[in-house]
Amino acid sequence: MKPYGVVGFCCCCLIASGCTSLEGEDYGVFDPYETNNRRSYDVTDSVDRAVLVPVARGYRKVLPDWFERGLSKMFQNLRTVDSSVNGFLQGKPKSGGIDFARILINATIGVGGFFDVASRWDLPYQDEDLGQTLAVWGIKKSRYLYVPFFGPSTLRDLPSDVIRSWVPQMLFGGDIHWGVSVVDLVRARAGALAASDIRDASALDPYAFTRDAYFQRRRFLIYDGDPPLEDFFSDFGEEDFGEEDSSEQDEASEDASVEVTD
Amino acid sequence: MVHRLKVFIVGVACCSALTPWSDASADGASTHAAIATFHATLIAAMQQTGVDARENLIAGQVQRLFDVEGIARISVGRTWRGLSVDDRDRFKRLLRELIVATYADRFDRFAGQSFEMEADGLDRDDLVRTRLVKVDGSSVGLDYYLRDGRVFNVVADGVSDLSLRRADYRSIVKRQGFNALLGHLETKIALARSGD
Repeated sequence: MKPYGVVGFCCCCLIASGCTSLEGEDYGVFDPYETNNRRSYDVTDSVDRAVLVPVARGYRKVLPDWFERGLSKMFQNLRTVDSSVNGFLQGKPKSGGIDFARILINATIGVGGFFDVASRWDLPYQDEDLGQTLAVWGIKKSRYLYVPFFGPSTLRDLPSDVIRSWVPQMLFGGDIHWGVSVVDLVRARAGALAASDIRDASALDPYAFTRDAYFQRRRFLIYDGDPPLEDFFSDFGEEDFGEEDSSEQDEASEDASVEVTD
Repeated sequence: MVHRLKVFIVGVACCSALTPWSDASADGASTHAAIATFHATLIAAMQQTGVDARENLIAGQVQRLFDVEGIARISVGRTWRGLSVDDRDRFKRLLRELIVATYADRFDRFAGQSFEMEADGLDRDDLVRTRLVKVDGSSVGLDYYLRDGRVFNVVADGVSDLSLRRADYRSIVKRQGFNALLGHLETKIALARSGD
């Protein structure tokens, strides 16, 4: 994709996100396109199981753990530029500064990011992105999208996902970026094997499980690992612990909850 | 937020009578001790060979520590109210078995892992923050949410087990019905037990 194509696509998503930002004020599950998303999930999951998972397992089997970790750290270091910028955009100069220092330290002393020297110096990766920035700026509730061959996202987070997947092309250019992108894809899938194994072992409806896990994880990141506890308890409501003969009001509130979450 | 809450609690404790503070500390200590015992059991289970041995160790702890009925109610929501006593008992039994089997499956080999209690929230009796630390130094945050001294939710690095269960189970009930949910649970229990 050409640079102006990426910018244009992101602008369209941002405008659409802005238009839909008044649909809710929390970070709860919002899936008005569930029918299409489920189709997309089924197709993507079939391809994932047939192609990506075997390749990722092979990658994990062949490469020594230390090399695999180093490679993942190199790609993380490339994306720290994005994280640093978004730290500043969210009004968190300390966060942006830590990531900026990480880039300098890991790119030099850490041999291009292969060794995560910065973390040992108490400068942890801040893991910010454009989707989190937009959430901090007020786009909280956003429509869930299961993008074919790409995975879970929302209208708000999609520009960030596109930008991040475009990083190798931006940095390496020419034909080499395709090779780098493939390695990045396989590496990322290998890193997610443990999570997908848990999904396969636990989920009765893998689509709903993945969707809820995605929204929870994004909320966790938006709140920098410390989401408010009050929201967590109110999600489940007292009536769930109460006696059987709950009031009509309880039923109504639960109906509303099911409408949003299911 | 937690820091602000802690400051608030400390402020209240300093400005008011000490009795409630002491009670809260005692409750906080007992819930932390209960979670520490559960973690010790998981470490012991990881050193056992065979899923049966691990399940035997974990089952008693789950029975004592986990609010399986609360988890069951929240997981299926409004459907719970329309269930017969037999269906509720069967659902609770399967849920308990699934929790035990899942722990026994996931904590299946010891490789130097350890559990650490976070200092944050030591005075609370409704939340215990911990970390599972692997031998390479990486770690996963495990937050236990309690009600009346029993765990109803475990949050791993921001992902709530109960919320996932709720989304998952409600989706199955809505699309396939409650009996299908029971069937799926039996399948998952068998799958977890065949993991060795």
